[in-house]
Amino acid sequence: MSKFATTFILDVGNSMQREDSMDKTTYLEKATTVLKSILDSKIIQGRKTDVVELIFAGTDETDNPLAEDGQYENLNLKFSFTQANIKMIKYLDSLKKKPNNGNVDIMDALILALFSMNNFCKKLKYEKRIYILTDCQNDMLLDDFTTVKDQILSMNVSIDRKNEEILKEITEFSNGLIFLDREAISALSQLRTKSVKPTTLLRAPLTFGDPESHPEETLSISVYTYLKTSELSAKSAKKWSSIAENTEPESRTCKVDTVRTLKVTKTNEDGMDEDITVEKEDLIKAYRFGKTLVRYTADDEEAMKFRCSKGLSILGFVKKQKIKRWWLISNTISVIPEPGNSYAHVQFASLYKALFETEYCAMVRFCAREDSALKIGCLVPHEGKPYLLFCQLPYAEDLRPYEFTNLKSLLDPENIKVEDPNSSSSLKPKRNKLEARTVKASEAIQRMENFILSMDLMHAIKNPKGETKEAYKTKDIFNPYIQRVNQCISHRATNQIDSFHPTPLPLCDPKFLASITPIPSLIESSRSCATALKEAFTLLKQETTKKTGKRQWQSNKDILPGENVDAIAADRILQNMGNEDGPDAKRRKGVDGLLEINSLFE
Amino acid sequence: MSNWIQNFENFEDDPLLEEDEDDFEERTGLDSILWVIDCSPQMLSSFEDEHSFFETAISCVIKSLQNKIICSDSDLIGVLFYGTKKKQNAFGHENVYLLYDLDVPDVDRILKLETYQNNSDSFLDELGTSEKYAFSDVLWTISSVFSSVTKKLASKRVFLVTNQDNPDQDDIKKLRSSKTRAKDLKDLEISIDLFAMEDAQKPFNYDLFFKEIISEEEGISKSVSAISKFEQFEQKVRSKQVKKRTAFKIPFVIHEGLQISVLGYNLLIDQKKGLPVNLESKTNLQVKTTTKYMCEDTAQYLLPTDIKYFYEYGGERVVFTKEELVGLKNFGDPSLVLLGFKPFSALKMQQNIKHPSFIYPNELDVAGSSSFFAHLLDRMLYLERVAICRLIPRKNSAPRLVALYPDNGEKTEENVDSDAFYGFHVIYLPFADDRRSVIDFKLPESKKLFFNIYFYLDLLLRILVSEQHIESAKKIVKKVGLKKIDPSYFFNPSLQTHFANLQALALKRSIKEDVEDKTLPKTESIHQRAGELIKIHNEFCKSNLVEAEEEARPEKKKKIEVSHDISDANFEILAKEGLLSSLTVPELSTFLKKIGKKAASKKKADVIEAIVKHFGF
Repeated sequence: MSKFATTFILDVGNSMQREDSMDKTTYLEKATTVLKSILDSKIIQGRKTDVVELIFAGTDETDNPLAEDGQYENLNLKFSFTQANIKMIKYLDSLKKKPNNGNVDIMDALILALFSMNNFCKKLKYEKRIYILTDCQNDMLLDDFTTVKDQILSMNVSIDRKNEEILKEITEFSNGLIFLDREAISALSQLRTKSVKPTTLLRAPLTFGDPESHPEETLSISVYTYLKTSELSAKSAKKWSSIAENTEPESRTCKVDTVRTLKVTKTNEDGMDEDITVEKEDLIKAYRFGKTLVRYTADDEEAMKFRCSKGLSILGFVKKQKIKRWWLISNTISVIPEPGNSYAHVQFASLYKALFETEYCAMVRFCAREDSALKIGCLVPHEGKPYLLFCQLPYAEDLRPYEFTNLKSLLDPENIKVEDPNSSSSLKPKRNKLEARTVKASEAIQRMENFILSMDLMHAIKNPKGETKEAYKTKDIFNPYIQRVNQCISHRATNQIDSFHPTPLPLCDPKFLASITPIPSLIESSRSCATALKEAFTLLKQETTKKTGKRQWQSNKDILPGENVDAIAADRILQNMGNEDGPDAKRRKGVDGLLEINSLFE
Repeated sequence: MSNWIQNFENFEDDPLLEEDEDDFEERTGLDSILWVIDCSPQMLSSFEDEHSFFETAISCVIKSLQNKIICSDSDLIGVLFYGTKKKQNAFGHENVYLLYDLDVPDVDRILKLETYQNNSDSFLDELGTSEKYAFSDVLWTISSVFSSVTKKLASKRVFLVTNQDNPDQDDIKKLRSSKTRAKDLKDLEISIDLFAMEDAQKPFNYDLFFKEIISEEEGISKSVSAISKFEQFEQKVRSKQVKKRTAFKIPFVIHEGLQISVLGYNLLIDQKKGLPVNLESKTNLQVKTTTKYMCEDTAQYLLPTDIKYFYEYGGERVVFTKEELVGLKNFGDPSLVLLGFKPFSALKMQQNIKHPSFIYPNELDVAGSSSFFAHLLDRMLYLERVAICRLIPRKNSAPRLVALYPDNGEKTEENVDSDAFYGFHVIYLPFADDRRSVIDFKLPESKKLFFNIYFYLDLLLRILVSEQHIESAKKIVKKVGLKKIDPSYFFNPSLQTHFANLQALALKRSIKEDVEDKTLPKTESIHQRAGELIKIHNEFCKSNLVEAEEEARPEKKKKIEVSHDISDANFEILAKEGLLSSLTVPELSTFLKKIGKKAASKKKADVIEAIVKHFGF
């Protein structure tokens, strides 16, 4: 189901204004924090099909469609079903300034919620949910209980609430959950992400063979494909005219229009160059072929286009080992058998198992839409889940086979490079200029190995019970940038008077970056290995004298506190001083590191 | 409206868009390559079976031109011949023929070179061949070709092709002169890449002459290997012709107080068609597009400083300055920070979101980086570990989690043909936000009791699929193995079609109907090798399925086919004996149909009655 209708019932009665002795905040503050957090995430996601309703129980005033003859009093249906918005957040903030003293009847509120939900959703397919935020300090009238129960069942609503007793029964039969307050806050203070509804990318047969000419002798498995990973980008901003800020408040929109003009330069009668505007209709597309511009009409392009029909076809099978991990050039795609098609399931499952057990993968040509970009890739059994994964591989055109000098010779225990005896230069063996080891090769290797093992992440996190866990699992880490953007938008929106008086941005929540920062305990426990490793090499930070590009990297001392690398090896500084042919002289030639390194090999 | 116009209309200069990944190095000018080809008689002798050294060289030049013409439209290419009878150059040097000055490649040049490639007689007729040339003149001409270019050049490279390892024939005077000229080239920052060709009869001795001539930056260890096969030549051109560009240059923080410096590259990048330009249809004049922003309220044009940005938040507009937005991305200076190590097996195939990058040590910022890097790489390979790091590649790029995958640049048994690179591949890991985990489709009603799709699929795997299923699938898998799968094998058929069309249109040739498409499955060969196995497998899957389905859904009846061949005579006997009821309804009905009679109903008794009536019993 893709449509959501959610009602929040917030108890604002007297008892909610008590302070929790543990943390000196009132229950009402806690409840609004939770509610604001849920609303904030709904606003950020901005889904039109996700609507909410807010009912306040225990308000001084009474404002709801059921109120009549003293019934359903002290209930305020303040916001009926609509997309979550800033007014709701601001209203919640205003609650603590104006305490309510009305009588609280949660059962009445629930009946009102059901009534309103029934009116709104009618027979439409909504995922219906009611949240009740209360401390359950007020008695409930139980006479209506059975009717409420029946109605909840018939409407298929699920109810979530926080705290205590009687409603337990309701939540039980409606598959709801009860959160205690601290659990609720901690559950919601976790970083959250935008949930994206999975949609099938392609429904087509996965074939092996030619289904046209040899239908019987062709493997044809009906499959569905879904995105497995896809880079989520932060919300995008629109342009705002700041000069409109000074215009009349009633009419200003601050909107920005994009004006594009197309012009050609022509020589006029007086022999002067003149820019003349061209209409879009008078344009024709052309591709460069060296100096030549080749005209393409839309028809030309359509007629000459590369054609391919949608589907997945297997070219053959290869050992999985042959696929290098770094060949993967794009996001990954899940491939599953067509749901409910038993024949497809059996075929799919036997292929999956066969690939799994033989450690093979299938090379596949993947076309998601008719005549669209054709992908080449491999189909591998997903590790840990019973379906296949399509991993796109590069085409020959995508590869830039730059050359990199192999540095293996630097591991050479002899530590020297023998000069060619035929050359005119000195016959004396000399030290490779790139060599920076201060200890014997075997020792350096040992220290490196110790260091790598000391920084193992598979058991880097310990829970209080002493069990260890893998650190930096991708499912636990949220994109800090997206979190930061959302934090700033919500903060500014809820704190500013209006769009023209922005508040200062909040400090970056340290949580955001903490998940991708070295674990302090690991840094501590590996310190001795790291120190030993450091002493095995002479690393010397060079002073950059000349800016070689517009984006020069700056000193990095803020990233980790520690000693300055420069201090480590004063002898190398001395060695390089006044040496015109040393690395300093070479550096001026360019930024290409490889060239420099080769020259250092001489 | 065609797509491309819409595309450029939708383009928004969002300040938050990632910077061009390839644009770390400031492009200060154009790249240039001058091909310098030895045309002396020994180059015209046979190299590989059918082609001479010269022809091989020319066909590689043509390929390179075609590539440049399509991919990088503004790079300059020139062609200089030496060892020719005729001369053509600014200083009147004998036996040096400047065929093409440095310029944007052109269709005509390709056509001209093609005539030399296909027919060396035409070359001999036009330019002739000669052994009498002074190598120093060649070098002199090279420097003059580059200095005559008025445009600003970012790189000046010479691709020198020869099979003569001692062009000055040990003449001390000539040698001294060549050395002087070589030094001049070096001072002008012109670098020479030597394409040394050899065959079994005549090996190429690099130390004889070229060691002294080739500028030392193009390291001795690299260029020394001579080319003895056409493929090697092509491969070398391929790896050289794109100028190596750094994508980032950052410190690599290993631990507190321990850091080296690395350079980042992109070895793999989705290659797209060149961007089209707009012409005015009548005049073929190139159209310039200008974009301006106008304030809707005041109708004034806006300066970049007048523009702010806003987001919608629950009905409220939240305004940010450009600086604020850019600042949100700032999580520290560009750097690669080590978080720790994991075994290779912890890096799953599904953990991928985009093309990888590559890092190599940068000795210039931290001396000793290479040595440290080499040891780290060696031990990580030995221990089979990837390094998990946080990467901020450039200023104002948001941080990402990456895995460094060690590559020792050596070809393995499994990948003899594919390219290998010495360094770390940087694999970008997805964040939780980038994962689409739940495949949420409706399960069939009867299968609702299963908790989720994974569980359901897993269960099917266990109950529906027997050992025999797997064994028969395994046979198919093993039967059709592929040999070549590395990235250099598959050309993008869509791009190749575009290039072929473009070239044909430009050269006014007929459009090639079928561009070779290696991504197409070789269905006939699959059929021959595995057709029978697939058929058996399909039937097996189907038959077992029927049994399983029968149990699950008894209400759906199997379609019964007539299996016995019963002649009309037999029918008569059976009818006489009153044994018709032993046959099935379809068998009986088929017979009835054949004799053109109809039964009162489809009930067995009625059908039998109709048949008995037919025989008159």
